[in-house]
Amino acid sequence: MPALTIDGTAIECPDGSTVIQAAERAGIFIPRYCYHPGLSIAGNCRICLVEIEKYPKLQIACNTPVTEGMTVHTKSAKAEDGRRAVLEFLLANHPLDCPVCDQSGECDLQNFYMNFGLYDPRFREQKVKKKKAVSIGPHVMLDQERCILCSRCVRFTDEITKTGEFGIFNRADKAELGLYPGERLDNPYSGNVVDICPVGALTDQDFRFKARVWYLSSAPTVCNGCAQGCNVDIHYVLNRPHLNDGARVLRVKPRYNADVNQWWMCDEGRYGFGWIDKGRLTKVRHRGVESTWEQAMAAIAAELTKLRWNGSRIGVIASSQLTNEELFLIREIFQGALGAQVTAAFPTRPGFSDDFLIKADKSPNTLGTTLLALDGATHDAATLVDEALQGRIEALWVFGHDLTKLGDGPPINNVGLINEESLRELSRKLGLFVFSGTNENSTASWSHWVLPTAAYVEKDGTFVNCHGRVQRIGRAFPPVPDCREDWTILLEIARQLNHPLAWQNPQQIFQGLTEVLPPLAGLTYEKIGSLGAPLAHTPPAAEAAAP
Amino acid sequence: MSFHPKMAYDATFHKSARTLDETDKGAGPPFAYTAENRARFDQIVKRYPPDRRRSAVLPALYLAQYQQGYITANAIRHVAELLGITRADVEDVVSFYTMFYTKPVGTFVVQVCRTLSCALNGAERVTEELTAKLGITPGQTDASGTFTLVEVECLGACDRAPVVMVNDGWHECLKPEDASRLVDDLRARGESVLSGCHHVVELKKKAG
Ligand code: SF4
Ligand code: SF4
Ligand code: FES
Ligand code: FES
Repeated sequence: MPALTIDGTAIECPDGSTVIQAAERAGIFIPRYCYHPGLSIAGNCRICLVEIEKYPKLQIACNTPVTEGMTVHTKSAKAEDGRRAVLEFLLANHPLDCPVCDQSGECDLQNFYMNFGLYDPRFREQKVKKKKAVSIGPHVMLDQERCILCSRCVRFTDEITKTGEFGIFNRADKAELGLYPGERLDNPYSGNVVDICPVGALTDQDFRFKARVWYLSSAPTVCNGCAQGCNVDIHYVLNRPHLNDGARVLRVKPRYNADVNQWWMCDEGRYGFGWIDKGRLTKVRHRGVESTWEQAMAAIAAELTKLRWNGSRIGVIASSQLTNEELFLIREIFQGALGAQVTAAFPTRPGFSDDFLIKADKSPNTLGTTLLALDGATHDAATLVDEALQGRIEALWVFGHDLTKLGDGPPINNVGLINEESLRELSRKLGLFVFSGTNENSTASWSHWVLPTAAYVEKDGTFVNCHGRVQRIGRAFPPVPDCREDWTILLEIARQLNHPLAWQNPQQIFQGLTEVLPPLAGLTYEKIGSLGAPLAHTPPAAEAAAP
Repeated sequence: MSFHPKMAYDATFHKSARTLDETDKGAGPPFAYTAENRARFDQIVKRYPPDRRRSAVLPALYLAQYQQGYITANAIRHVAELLGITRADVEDVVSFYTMFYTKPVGTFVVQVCRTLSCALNGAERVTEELTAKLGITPGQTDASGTFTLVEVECLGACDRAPVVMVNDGWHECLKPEDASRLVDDLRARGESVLSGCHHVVELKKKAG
């Protein structure tokens, strides 16, 4: 553990650390372009120059190992002069597109220029021109003039995805970032190069020109795209409905979590947020006619009450898209109080998976349904629908699922669990058929009651990922007007069924949950924090499921 | 003085300086090492540890260039496949080093150093003489395919500036008036009388 001094702060750090890492430990930020903690060290941009006593020249912090007794100055005039000179070189041929550059506002050229640049430009010559706005793949747009050749993206595709699409071609001021002729940047993680590009050379085609980044708000949550549960930030705009047809979510960015996704996320999760603002159910409906929450709650509760001594005639198809808190309420109310048949097991086809982040199970909370024993040991969605078609179930409540599809994927051979015809018959046979969910689908159109619910970014709660990590999804912004979080609906139903529950919010429900579920014992929202917490012990099923 | 340089905006303004294209037209003739070169290649890769096989890219490309005269997309593909790296990795190297040619070149590639020492000692005038004699400007190959003239950066013999390199041999302390003789010698005998300096000095030293 060498001990050194950085800007007057004494600090010890592990052997083999570099100056930039030591500085970070001491809470001192050293500018960087090419250095990225998740990639190998390139040491080519030179913006991280620092002054080290007894060294005749400035050194790059990212590739200088610390030694015992080192004295480093990161803010001395000499260090800042050196960095200013480096920046002047980097900007010599830079197009300064800032007014039309998507990176503007989160650009490290702008940032560092404001921090220690502020020189008067001396470059009067014609700038070297390169290609602009080249679509290099389904998601990423390349502007070669803005690239500072830090090679982060090259190392990402070489070291993380191992697909090796990028190269830096030619030399000197003609040097340019590009793909081999005929190639496309089309791998399942391509969007990450947009995040790591420190400038506006690689931008997001999906987000391009949608909003200036300084209008964005950010909220931490967890991706609901698969069982990995990558930690993400939702970037959204609420007060500018003139942008993007009023869509609130504008992009999703990975959030660092050493135990889950590090700095990365997959493209499927990154670009799969469209449903949050498109095709939403916004009104309570009763057989196609707009109704109110009061009427719906009263009518549904009344129907359920009729069957309360005949619980097995009530079927509930819950979903592994629901939070633990909601699943727990469903279990308490339907299984516990009413004796209904409840399952969250819904036949799915395994999706694409790899050995990095993407899991075949496209539900964020399958393990939560296992913990709550709703994963279909005795019956699954198919058996419940079957029983309903044969008249043994009179009331059916479907949470989120479209019965005509399998999982979230498109129906196989155009058949899901059942086809449209059987769905219509189901609707005819049932005395009560409730669909609660976020988006329009066939099941919504054939159910008797449609209850519009909040998307996961609009509600609080927890998911358990495939590695047995409990993660909180937070609540980025309130639901679309007239949509309600599933847990509020469930609490209301419980009240109307004369089975009131003491909890008022997800946090209290979670506390109730920890008391009855040993794997969750001792956890609180505070302990879960923004990075999640492992289960006390992982159920054996999870061990097997997590590759 | 106008603050802004004149901007020559037109359709071809924002373009790449890369020469390689992988259309059928640009990929060149099919390429594979000859049996002999393949044997050489196998010797070369033995010099590197198995996990550093990619380090053999420079000698592997030289081999390809010796065989074909210049590097094509097909040659890049062949080298990449043999070394187990991507074609982009190979093009990185090809396009970085001026010693690799991506277009056919003449039998003699005349490379005039234009870096500081040579420039101060009249390299520009050597280039002018060569241009006049050969009737081509730097970057061009003459019609008969005998000569290619290029300007390059420091050739590492600055003490004998100005330096011209023809294929793999140096010609040092060239005076502009030597240029014409150099060309004639190359034409006549396929080699030139070395301007000497380097070798003469070295030989003298050896002799005693
Ligand atoms: S990359 Fe940064 S400095 Fe360059 S144009 Fe974009 S915002 Fe401006
Ligand atoms: S595109 Fe961005 S990440 Fe890639 S080398 Fe250029 S500046 Fe770096
Ligand atoms: S961050 Fe150190 S050289 Fe680029
Ligand atoms: S400057 Fe010409 S050889 Fe070095």
